[in-house]
Amino acid sequence: MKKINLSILILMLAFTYSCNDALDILPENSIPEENAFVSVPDLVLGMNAVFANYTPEANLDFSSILTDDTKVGEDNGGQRINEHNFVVTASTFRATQIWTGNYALINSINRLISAAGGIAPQNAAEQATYDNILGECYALRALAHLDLLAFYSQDYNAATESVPYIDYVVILEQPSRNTVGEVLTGIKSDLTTAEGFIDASITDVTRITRDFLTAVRARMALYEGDNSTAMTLSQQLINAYPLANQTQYVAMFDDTDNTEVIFKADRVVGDPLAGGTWMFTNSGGSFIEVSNELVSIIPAGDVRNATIWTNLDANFVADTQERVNKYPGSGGNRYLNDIKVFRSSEMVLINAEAKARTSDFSGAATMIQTLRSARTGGTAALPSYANINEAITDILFERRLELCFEGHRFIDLKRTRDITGTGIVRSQALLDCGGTSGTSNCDLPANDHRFTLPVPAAELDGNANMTQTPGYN
Amino acid sequence: MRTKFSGILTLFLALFVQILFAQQQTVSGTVTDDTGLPLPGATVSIKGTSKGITTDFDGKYSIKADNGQTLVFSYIGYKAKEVTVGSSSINVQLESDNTLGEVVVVAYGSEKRSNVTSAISVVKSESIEQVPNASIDQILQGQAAGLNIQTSSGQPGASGTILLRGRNSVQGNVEPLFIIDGVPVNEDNFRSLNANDIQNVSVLKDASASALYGNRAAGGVIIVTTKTGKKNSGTRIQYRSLYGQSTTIDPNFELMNSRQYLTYLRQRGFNTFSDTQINALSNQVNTKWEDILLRTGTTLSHEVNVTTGGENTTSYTSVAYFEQEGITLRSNLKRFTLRNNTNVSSSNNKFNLTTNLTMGYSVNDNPANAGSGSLNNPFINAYIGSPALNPYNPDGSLDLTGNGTTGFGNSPIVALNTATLNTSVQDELKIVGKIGATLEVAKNLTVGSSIGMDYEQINGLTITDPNSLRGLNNDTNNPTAAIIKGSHAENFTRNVSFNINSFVTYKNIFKDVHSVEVSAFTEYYKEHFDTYGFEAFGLDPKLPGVGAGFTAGNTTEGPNNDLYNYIPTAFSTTTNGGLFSYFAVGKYDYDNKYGFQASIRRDASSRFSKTNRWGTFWSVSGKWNIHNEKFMEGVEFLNELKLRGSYGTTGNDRAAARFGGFNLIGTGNGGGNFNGSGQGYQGTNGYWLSQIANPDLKWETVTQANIGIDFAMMSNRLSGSLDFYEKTTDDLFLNRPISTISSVNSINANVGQMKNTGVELALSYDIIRSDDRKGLQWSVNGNIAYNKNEITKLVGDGLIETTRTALSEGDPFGSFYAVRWAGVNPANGSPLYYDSDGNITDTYTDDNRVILDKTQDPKFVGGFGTNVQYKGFALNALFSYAIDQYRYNGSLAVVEDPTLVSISNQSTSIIREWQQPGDITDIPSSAFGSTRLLNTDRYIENASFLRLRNVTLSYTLDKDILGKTNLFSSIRMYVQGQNLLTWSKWRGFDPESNINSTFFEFPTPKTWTLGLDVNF
Repeated sequence: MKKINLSILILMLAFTYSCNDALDILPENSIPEENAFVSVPDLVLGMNAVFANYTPEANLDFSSILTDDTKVGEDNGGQRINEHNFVVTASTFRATQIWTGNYALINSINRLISAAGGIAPQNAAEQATYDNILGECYALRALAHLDLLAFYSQDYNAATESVPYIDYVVILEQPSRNTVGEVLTGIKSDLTTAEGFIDASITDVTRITRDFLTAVRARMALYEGDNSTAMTLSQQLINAYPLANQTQYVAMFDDTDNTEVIFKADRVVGDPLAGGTWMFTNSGGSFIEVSNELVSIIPAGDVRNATIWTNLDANFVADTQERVNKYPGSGGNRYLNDIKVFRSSEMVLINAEAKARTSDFSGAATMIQTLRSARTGGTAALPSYANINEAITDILFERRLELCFEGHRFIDLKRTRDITGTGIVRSQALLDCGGTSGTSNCDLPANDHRFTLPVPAAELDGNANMTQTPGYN
Repeated sequence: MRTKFSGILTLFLALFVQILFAQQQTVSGTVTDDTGLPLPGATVSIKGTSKGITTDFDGKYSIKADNGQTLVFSYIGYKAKEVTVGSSSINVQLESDNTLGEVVVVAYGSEKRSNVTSAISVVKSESIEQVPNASIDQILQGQAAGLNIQTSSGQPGASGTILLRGRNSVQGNVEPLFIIDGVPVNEDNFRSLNANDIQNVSVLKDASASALYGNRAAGGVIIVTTKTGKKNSGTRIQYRSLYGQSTTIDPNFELMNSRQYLTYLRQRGFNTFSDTQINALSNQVNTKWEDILLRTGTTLSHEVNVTTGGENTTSYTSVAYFEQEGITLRSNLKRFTLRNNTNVSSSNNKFNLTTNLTMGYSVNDNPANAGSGSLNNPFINAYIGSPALNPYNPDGSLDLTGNGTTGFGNSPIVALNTATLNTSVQDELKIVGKIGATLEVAKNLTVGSSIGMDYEQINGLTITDPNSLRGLNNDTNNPTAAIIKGSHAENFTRNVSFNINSFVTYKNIFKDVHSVEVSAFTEYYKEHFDTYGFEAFGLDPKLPGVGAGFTAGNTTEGPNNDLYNYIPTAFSTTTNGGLFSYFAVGKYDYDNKYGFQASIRRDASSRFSKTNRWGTFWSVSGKWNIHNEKFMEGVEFLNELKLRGSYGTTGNDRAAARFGGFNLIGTGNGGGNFNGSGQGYQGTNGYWLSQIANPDLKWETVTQANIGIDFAMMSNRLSGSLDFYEKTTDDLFLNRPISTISSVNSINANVGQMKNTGVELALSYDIIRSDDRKGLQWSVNGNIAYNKNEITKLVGDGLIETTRTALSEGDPFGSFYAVRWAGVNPANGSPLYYDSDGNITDTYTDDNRVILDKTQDPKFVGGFGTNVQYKGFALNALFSYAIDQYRYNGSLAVVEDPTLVSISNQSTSIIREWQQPGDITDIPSSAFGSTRLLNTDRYIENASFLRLRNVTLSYTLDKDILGKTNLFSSIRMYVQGQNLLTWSKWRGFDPESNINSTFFEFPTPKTWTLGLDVNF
């Protein structure tokens, strides 16, 4: 009997350890999604991540290295040579990261908006925070779609195939392309929604403001050919944000002046160094330098000579490199700078271009003159344009000087090539290509398929409804 | 036939021997084992009668028998011996039996070999003990059919990859489950365990054998049983020692000497020396960096073990120290191990208690960055170091500074400096323990339970000395602007798992022939991983290795004095996992002729979502002992013929994602990195999506069919087994691509199928036998396994590129995917390729890649060996081999890359470079640049090898000689060589590897050792 009792005891022991203890195990290093967002402060953490997912660095990287603003640097050991040589395929990381980066941003936004739907703010302060988060989400979703549209649509006519416009949380769905018109409708709707949430009193240029929304609208209007809107909105912003003087201009790139900054992505210690796009940040040795042509076209006395390039290395020792100087560093952190996304000078250029495109050539010329005067510190000559081609060519020239290394050049060439008939042309005479320049690939013809970026190979692998951009396989 | 098998039958009957009556004359004597020790409990019976007795505590017996009758002496695990009664004193020494009466350790128990219904290979202690290799898995190489164990590190104690019957997963775990005394242990870390403690290793290969471990046994099971005492055997003490030296294996290629390198540099325009200058320079300095960076390492070990056996208690205790230097600077393993195994039983044997406990502490000093392109890596520098660079200072000491940089120009010096000044050490504490008890609660009914633990704790220490080249150049994780140099990182990793097992077994024999055993089990398994650590910056060189030397985190520097260059980083992560199972097994055996076994189990894993966590796995198997059939009675030459068959399923839950069923949100800062990566906007905290759930993720399942025969013939001289198997992995873990709009490229999924089919043959043959223990005995043995892997189903278009290999539907795992190299164009020296249609072209494009008939895993693996014994001498040799395995030789490609000539020494093959039209050569003109990074098969080389894995010559002084000393019972002295000879076409230090592309790994060394075993 004793034995039986003992055996029962042992058998009981066998079943007393709960099987659930071994099975109901939750991850400890991460949070299951349903537990992550339960209050407004959680949404703030979510927004911090959403905003960090916004990486305009990808634009300025691609737009400079692929274009005529750059040449192979003295310290190049193979870095970025492929893109510089116009080698762009569906697997080219720098071409695909604009897609994946923006859709990751959009996905994080849609997840946050969805999570916010289940959270009720507890008081007025929370309500304000809550609304602002939603406003920032919709605003960034609009900008992300605009960037995608710019790089991945062949042109900006309403009927042209563009990227998917995504306003829901994609998990296993396989979205297909929308037209440019559909994407623009989505962007406009997002901007309107954002406007309802963003308080007019917000003026922090590192966050979303009402002016940010206006700036997105102005840029978008120029892309889609809505010139009157472009003119109206850009003028509105020009009025609110005067052009910087020469001192303010230099200070702006040291991140100490915001006179003409409408929006910039804040970068602090620990964030990627923008200067690292072209340089080894420990030494300042350039693998990609400013093209000789760009250096050569800077007018005498133009403050931009100092912001476009420098021959000083990381330790401020002069050498023979023409290194990018738009991101010289801030607060003692070499090459760490905010990314200026919208400045009033772009609004001046948008205004000029919209005028030129509506045949108001003198209005356009006045705008260009205003900008040149500000940069040279005197009164610049008033240009005169006989036709649209001349006007656009001169505006492009000015955009190049003003906005180089800020993510515009590639899109600017792309969207004006129907007027200028020119693609990317690197100067052989100035040794930006050919000879001992390190590359023999000088031109990307105006009709080249590479003006539209390829859909990432990974997207095509996982999405049966997606089509590749014509010209790529 | 029957008579041939009287031995076994007797043995079988011996289990049920009753006390018998004695008659006639009294014969007495002692029964001893093969080491000359008394065998208590051995059976002595009179042939042809039912009379018999058992030996006493001292192995002594006394039985009444007629002259002319035959006495049969038997004991489980020994060959029965027959002696005709002629005198009144008969002393018998039994030899251990390798085949028939052998007891085989199977899942959750042991079984007589003749009853086993499944495919199991056994490796015994003799071939494991005193091998100068600190990792148990590597000792098993070549010793069991179907086991493919290879490593790509010669670091003492480094573990390899174990593949049993091929690779049955792509992204899931591929290695067998390792069980030590009933405790599942980490199969990737054995450096703190003492292989000398092992009694035997059972390799469970088919579904039936592994069904009882079915939730973790998709890769098979390796069961390690450690030593224990024999009841009533008294106390035995053994001392063992080993001393040895390791050196590098001669590489199968040649590098340029100083003269050749300088001349070649001149030819390429990198210098303008005259012949006289080159002559002078190369006479002055001709450095073979291999000799500077590699060295002879020593091995030393001491061990004392004590075995006791009383009436109710047995135990085994060992204490050992092992120290082995690797063949490069800084490489070292020091280990202290302790083991105690104790068994206690009640006087009526109904209650048994077993405890197994081993503790190991090891200090593992690693060379820097082996297997990488880092200039710290001594092995890359052995290739690329310039022979024209002088390694010595004028005073004859090694130059640790060179030009002071950490660039290529200073490459071999960087490695020397790092090896000398910097630190990378791991201290490990490993404890494996189990306590288990069984109780016979009623006749034929036993219950039992056991609790086991595998505890592994590793403390890592990495120091970049402020005065080292890496420190001075702020080359590690230091902020580049830091003025105070050096960094110090420590990390703690604890990996502890528990398993609790309980069972009830009913066992009975009906009508003498129907043997039945039914058991039911529950098992609980839980694992906990914890890791944390920190890295501090700015070290005071006078206070090395302690926090007092760290620079405070709030120290500022820089022009505005606002740069924080010394903020330490810290991290901490924790992860848990668990399994819960219940299962049952039934066995039936009829008259030792037919046997059947069936098992079924239900398993739940914490890795899957609630709906998919349970898996059901099952197996059936059977055996037919044909030799026991009546119709085989006349077949004299055949001693054993057993047909086996099994079919069943096993599961694998160890996929990439531990919590695949969850959408996860993370903070993106990798466990707490204060210096920034993953930070939110404007330096804030944030919540990011870190994983998209696949709620459908479930068990990967392997279904295996096995058919095999075991045989022994010619008086058991020739024995062996032959197995055929087919394994199919369903619901293969693979990443399924999804739209990147979801913010990830792919999710973990069960999409795919893989198949392994193979044949295994193991044979052993006694060429010369001797009844005299000291006579000449010579046996040979060998095994070979063929495995064919095929990916039968993939996701998408049936091709997934994986660097130089690809997963391709219809092709084996690890098939190389490359453009075929077509040599060198004699007209202009350009490299030539085959396009995908087989036409020669001089243009390289990735589009011309094809799946090659070359794979990373070998098609054949195995080993063979021989044992010769004469008087006290014994010679054992073991060869191991792998056939038809290929690997990308990224190391040699560097020294044949014409674009690297200014920073890397070159292979002498470069001298054959194409020079002028008409040259027929295999080295293209350097004018065409590098082909190294192109996806061609130029450097995909045959890495098949045959290796003399181990050879031992020993001499044993036994009791006959030592008897007078009354102190020693035997002394064994031996000399042993490991990896002494290697035959391979592979152009490198070591053809053995567990990766498909090599880049300056730590090669396996060859080792000579002298050993001594003293038994008191």
